[in-house]
Amino acid sequence: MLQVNQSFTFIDGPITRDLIKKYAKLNNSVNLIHVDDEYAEKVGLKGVIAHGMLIYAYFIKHVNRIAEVNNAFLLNTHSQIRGMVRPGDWIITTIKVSLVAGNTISFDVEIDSKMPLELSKNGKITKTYEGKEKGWVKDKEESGIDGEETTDGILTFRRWKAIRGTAQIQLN
Amino acid sequence: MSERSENYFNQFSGYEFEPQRYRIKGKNLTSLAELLEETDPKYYPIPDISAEEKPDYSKVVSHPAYAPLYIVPGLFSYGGLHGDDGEPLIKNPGKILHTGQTLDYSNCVPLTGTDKKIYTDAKISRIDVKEEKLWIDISTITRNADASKIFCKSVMTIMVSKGGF
Repeated sequence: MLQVNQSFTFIDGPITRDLIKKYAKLNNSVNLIHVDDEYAEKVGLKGVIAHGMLIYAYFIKHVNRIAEVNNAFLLNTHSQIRGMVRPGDWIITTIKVSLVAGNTISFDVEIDSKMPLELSKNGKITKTYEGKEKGWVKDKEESGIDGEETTDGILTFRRWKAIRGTAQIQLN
Repeated sequence: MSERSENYFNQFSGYEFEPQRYRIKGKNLTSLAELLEETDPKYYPIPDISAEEKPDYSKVVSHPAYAPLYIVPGLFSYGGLHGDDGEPLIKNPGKILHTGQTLDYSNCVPLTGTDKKIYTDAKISRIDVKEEKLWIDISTITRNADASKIFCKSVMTIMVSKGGF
């Protein structure tokens, strides 16, 4: 049984150019900022970005999965697009139960993008990622830069809000 | 800042667009599920690779995440609205950002591979200028031809930044 403040975290990715192209094909995307790096650079984006609705699709997938394992169905979802997601980013979805009212369960949902920047071992940079090479971290996002130990060394990354939203499911 | 007064945009409030028709392709329903690594067989039935006949998508259920794929493309045709002065509502489509999306499945039925053609009715439910940006909510209802089935209700929020309206 779902309870208020119960929380679920899902990690998907990394988002790839191939995945973005496949989504663009599905929605007959005419917006080149998703599929053409040269065009995206021309309009000041420093490269392609994922469709907001592709990232939203992961939001819906995870809430719908929670609904199904709890013998419930998806009532609604609401999203606000807060930041861009780039090829190479991981997406971290956090879903928290905010209210249980009768048969209706409400959730707060957040998706962060985690952009790898560089990998270092013994103080030496062993790998640099596209996010670092192309300067994808905006000034305002620098507070989201952090590091973590991995089996290959210390990974420096930028974590930033991509989507904030809510959802409701109804128990059968 | 736009030279138009904020009142200029009131004329678009409540505007109803021509219904947008969308053709459902069974393959696309499963392609989205595959892309999301959705393993539930109702969304992504395991393909029978030994079958010689064309795949049967009639029993495939559309994943709820499919809805933006039939709702959002209409956004590009909605941008062609003109005001009573003959000028386009959106002067520079490059300034449009899709900033929010609500999907409401209450009292709706799931879309399946048998629903070949669906229609989205859309109207402007809110339009106003705030902090030098134009905000537009477009409310939509997606249905079958005779409206005996509703598949999804939605509100799409777009923001047009300075210089675009």
